[in-house]
Amino acid sequence: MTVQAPMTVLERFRLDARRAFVTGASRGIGRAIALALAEAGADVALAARDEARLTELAAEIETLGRRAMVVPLDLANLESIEPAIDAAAATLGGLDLLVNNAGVTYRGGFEIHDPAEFDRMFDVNLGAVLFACQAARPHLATAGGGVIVNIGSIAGTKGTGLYGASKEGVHSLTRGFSREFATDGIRVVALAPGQVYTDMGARVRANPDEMNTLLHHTAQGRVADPSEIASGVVYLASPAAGFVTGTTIAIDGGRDFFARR
Amino acid sequence: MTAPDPFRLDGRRALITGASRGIGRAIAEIYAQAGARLALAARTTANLEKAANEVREHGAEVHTLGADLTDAQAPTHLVEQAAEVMGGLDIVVNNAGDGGHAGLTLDAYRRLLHVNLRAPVLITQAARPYLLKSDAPVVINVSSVSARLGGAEPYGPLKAALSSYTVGLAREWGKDGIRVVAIAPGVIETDMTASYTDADWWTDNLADRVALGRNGRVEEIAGVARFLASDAAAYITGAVIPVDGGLVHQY
Repeated sequence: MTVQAPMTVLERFRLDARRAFVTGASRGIGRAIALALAEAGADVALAARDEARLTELAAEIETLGRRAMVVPLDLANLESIEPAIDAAAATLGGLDLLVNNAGVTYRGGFEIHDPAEFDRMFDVNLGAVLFACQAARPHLATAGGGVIVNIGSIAGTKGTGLYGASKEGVHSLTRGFSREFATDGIRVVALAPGQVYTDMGARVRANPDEMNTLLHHTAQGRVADPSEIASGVVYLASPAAGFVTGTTIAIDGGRDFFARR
Repeated sequence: MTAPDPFRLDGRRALITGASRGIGRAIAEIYAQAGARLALAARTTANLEKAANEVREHGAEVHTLGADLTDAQAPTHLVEQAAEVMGGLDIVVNNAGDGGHAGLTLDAYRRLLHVNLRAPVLITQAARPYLLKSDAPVVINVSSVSARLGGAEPYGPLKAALSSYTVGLAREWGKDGIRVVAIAPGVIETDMTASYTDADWWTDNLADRVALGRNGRVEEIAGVARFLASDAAAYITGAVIPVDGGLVHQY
């Protein structure tokens, strides 16, 4: 069976009137994603802890002619996720798209010195994604099938500390949910960014040794702009990616062990 | 004098978690046959004692240690006890796992996070000082094919996290000569997988889903665990070895 897409190719990349929920939207990649979705035509619920930054971003999105909603939310509080998604769906009149972008770094590398800190990192990076996917499912199903885009990391594939372990969990979860949610017409996909120019990456950029190693293993020899990740999210969320599900797409400038000599 | 058999584990001191049944117990058996000295850990010590007595029939030195790996302090304590009773550690097998069950609750998520990931990480890092003193140190993590397949319950994602940890830690500890590897079992007949292996939808389509057309046996994981622990595998690190009868290579 084939499905005819009665649109031009560029029209298939548009997200007109889609209702999106973006976590970690206050800055970095999440902020770029929220702006890109709005530019493509979507209304956006902005979730993060920093209400002041979200309010500024909401104003910016409204100048693009789209609706924006501020959702103060600490994703480490796993019980608060479902009510937040339900409230956003009620306000926006439904939900077509969930972007699980929120993530935190981890200072412990491969070690656990403070079990509570480890739990918190895993809760935000993996637990919150699990519970947000479950919470969004009925809304996406009601909307006739929607899309979930999870932001993983190339750190997962490469095994970069316990942070990377949490992100590899996200890639695995994406595969599992893609099968389970397909019965509701919901696509579940992941993006694995390489190093991106954000506040979160500032510590790495400030360390010349770490930075050199990183660029040495990146074919393009540079760091990504957040907009380059956001473009990927727009594609994956759009009808243009209608046959894409379960997979993790790397946007990493060609990260490989043998990238540069 | 003949050359030493590189597949033997004579005198090697191994800690195995989740050793009272299933895959962990089978690993204990084969390590005992290979000449290793063992510290076996499990939550329920009654079953563990029974398993230990059977393993002792191979003439092996076997210690039993109770440990509730949902507890944040238990992993470190376990490693210290194991190293004390055996006078050091050469092999750590992080086998204990919690498969969870249908339905995702906050409590289930947290228990699975702690048993399937936090405990192996804490055990491995607590073992490091002892492994640094060993002539042939190795950490073997028992991951799962679920990591690759994914799953809506956190089991698969957490096993994926364990595999990622294995790959990364091998790079980190390679310079110290410590090998870190993982085994990713497919569907192996154990108590944990009984609800799966007995289900009609699975048994009716086994030939389509598994290249070898059957479920695995615990001995078939244990054999790989013995190989990976031995000098025969001295150049293997950072590898996650699928032992699944050809489960993921269909289509």
